[in-house]
Amino acid sequence: MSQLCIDAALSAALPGETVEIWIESARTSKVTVVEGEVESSEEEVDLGAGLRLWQEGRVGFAYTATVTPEAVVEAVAASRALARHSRADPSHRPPDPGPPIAATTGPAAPSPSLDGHTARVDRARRVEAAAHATSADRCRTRSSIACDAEGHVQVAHSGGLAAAWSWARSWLTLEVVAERDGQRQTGFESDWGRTAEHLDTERVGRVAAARALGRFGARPLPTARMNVVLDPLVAAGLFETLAEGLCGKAILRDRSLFVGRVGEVIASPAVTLVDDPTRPGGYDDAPADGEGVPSRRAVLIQRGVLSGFLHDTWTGTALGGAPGHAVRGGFADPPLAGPRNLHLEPSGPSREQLLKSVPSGLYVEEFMGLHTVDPVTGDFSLGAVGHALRDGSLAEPVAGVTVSGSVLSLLRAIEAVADDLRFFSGGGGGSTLLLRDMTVGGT
Amino acid sequence: MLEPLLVRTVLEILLGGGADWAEIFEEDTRRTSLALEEGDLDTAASGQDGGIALRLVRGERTFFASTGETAPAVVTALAGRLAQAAGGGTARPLPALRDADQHPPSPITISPVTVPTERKVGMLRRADAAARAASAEVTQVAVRYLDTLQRVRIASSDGVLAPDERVICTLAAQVVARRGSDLRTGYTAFSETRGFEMFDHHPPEETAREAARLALLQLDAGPAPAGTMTVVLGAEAGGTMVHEACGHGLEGDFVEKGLSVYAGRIGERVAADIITVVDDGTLPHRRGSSRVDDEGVPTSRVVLIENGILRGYLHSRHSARRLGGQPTGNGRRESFRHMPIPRMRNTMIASGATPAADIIASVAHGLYVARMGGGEVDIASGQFVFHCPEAYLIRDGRLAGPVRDATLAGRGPDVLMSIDRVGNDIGFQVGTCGKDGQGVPVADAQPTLRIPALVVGGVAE
Repeated sequence: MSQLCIDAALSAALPGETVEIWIESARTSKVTVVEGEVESSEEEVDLGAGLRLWQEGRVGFAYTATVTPEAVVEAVAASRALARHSRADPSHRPPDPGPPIAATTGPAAPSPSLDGHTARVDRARRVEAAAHATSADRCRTRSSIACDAEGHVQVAHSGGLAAAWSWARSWLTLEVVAERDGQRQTGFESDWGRTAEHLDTERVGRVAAARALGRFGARPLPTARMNVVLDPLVAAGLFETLAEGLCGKAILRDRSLFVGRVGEVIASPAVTLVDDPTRPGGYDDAPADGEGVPSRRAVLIQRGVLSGFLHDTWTGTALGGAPGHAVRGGFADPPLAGPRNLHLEPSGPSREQLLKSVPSGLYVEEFMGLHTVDPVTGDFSLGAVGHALRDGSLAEPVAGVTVSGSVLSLLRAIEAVADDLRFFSGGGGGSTLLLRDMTVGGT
Repeated sequence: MLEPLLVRTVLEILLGGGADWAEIFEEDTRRTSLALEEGDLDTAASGQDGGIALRLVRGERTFFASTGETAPAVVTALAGRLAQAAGGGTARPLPALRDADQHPPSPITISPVTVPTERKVGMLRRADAAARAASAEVTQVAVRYLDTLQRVRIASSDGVLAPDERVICTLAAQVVARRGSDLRTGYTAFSETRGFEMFDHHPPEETAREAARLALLQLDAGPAPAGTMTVVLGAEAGGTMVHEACGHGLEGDFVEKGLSVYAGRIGERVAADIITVVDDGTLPHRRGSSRVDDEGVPTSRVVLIENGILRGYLHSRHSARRLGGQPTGNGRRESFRHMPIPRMRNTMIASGATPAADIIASVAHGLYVARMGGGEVDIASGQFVFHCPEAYLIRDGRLAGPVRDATLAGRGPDVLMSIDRVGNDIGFQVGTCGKDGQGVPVADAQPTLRIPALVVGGVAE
């Protein structure tokens, strides 16, 4: 059916037009276990198409969850009607076609049908058991979720571009609650892999439990400037959020504090920021981007110097940068430049060496309110949960404090990036990160 | 939507799995999204999304499947697989299907689906012009129009058939103001469960000017202080605090699993006696309103906290059953791809008796929050944070200069107990609440409130 739809869409292009079709399909199977009992089993079949149409610098987009030749042709007409309202901009043009791409990333996952149900239940139970084995203090489960998914993407345009690839992922997430003296604390951990064999079940259980149990008696620190160490997950989340200012559209629209600063020193020499969708082992690796353009590695900050931005065909054409960084939120979203496998390159020390170099400070296990960071100005003020750092080790738990600053002060404050780089579900990579002299608000 | 006869057949197949209860959720959603930036229509997107979700509950287990393919053969086959997975058994009889008892919806005069694109783009151009006219320091304007027409129909094995049409129009503006190298932003959104006539009583210029005002204000703002101080939340600030500090903890799924600080405390004092908290899904045109929830249960006005005493929780069918309560019409899902879970709709702290001016005048040194932005809460510990896009220092009972980028942090239960002044005013804000990876439209409201001590996270010493 999908080839019929592709043919129908591409042949609906009128003279002077280019029509692009993006079809994605996915199957997801998931079980939720609570205290050994299966609470729910879910199965999702998803299919949809996004249609983009260019007409002499004008562009329109329409989508449909009904993937039939008729519905797709109707969506082409809708995108044509919308294109009429846009202003002609020569930078709006279809991506250049290259050699066709046909690929599978990683081995195919076990088919995520109800057949894999027993294996998922077993996995979810094992991760729960690992959490329970961590401590005599009992942790209750909010949810232990095992999930498998596989999908397929096809993109083509009437100017000759064609790309298709498949993907597969397995996930495991555990959220537990521990109770002590009437107080409750939650702990969360997850892992992902190409297949279920890549999941570290024991670690997920252990870490979730340790997080919950480690938070009892958490108190704010006194307000002060201090060294702040970020957990790898926290570092990954923070940089994913800040990346918006490094994306083509923000630059083109002058909505970023990085505009016009390529070649300037904007960060400490410990900072080399890379986006690399070609990196094996990264969560977001794929042979091509959201426009079917071959994926490429981009160095955004090289040893503290701003060296470039992430572009799709539109912003790359307008600003003279290489495309290959378009991202789609789903079939209903038009592509836009965005991060895939964004991470800081390690600057040298191991995590242990990094922690040892900190006489005192705050270790952040979780930032709250990351979605409130202003991507334009880069100013942030975040709630933080974690531990006090004393003589290089994690001491008493801390909560109810804030960490504030600006993205530029943060980039300059990065003193070390440990070599424990991990890629997280959702895309970003993170390492243990040392920030010198940050403002921490507390009592 | 499925033929009535097929609805019955599918429910009967699901019940054949030995189900205690079964449900079909059908959805067809049309959206148009237009974004104007620098006078260019950057995004012009429209489309259709939809599908079917089947659910079967047997004992304590739920079996759920969703599919975008709605051909009868696909749906009946999927129902058969779910019934088989559930183990099969004696089927309960399915009563005759009847329409749900529904209160009147928010009336829609002009369905946005019927409005030509030119007129929608016209609203964006008006907003764009108004923001630019606000000041020469306004350098960038991005405005976005979004309309959604979500048609759903929920059929359950109780024999209830509940159709609903939810229309939401939204206009959002983001403005960047620049003075020298100093770059500041202002963002505001207006959204209602209303048709295109929304713009008659709330012109796009209002939204745009407000975003411009916030951006320009930030240029003049000093850094926020860091430390613990008295905080006054203005009525116009919206209800992020009540949403984060207490609303999430009253959602039935967190309560049912014993995760919430409010679990097992009905009838107990959980807030100061001047605090009453209500969630109301029936308010006409509010962003969180609808006729029925995504399980076909009519929405309602739920008293959560009455004069400081915990009275109730927000329930889906599942959480109500687990806790022995009644579903409250708060079972919501982002789309047919998701299982419904207990969610807030329009959550409010009720007005009190004190004029707002008296509350500000009562503070010698503190922070006045005129607008709250996004926030987050950890349910188990009650720790929350939220961001303040507009805030002022209070000195000797008067508003002093604006401060920027303040974040407030606290523990919900402590804050609710400590509020010692409640204003005689009320103000609403709209948002999209995220939980378990699902976003749903909500509104929050509160009167002016005084909180004696809260951590303010800024950068000033």
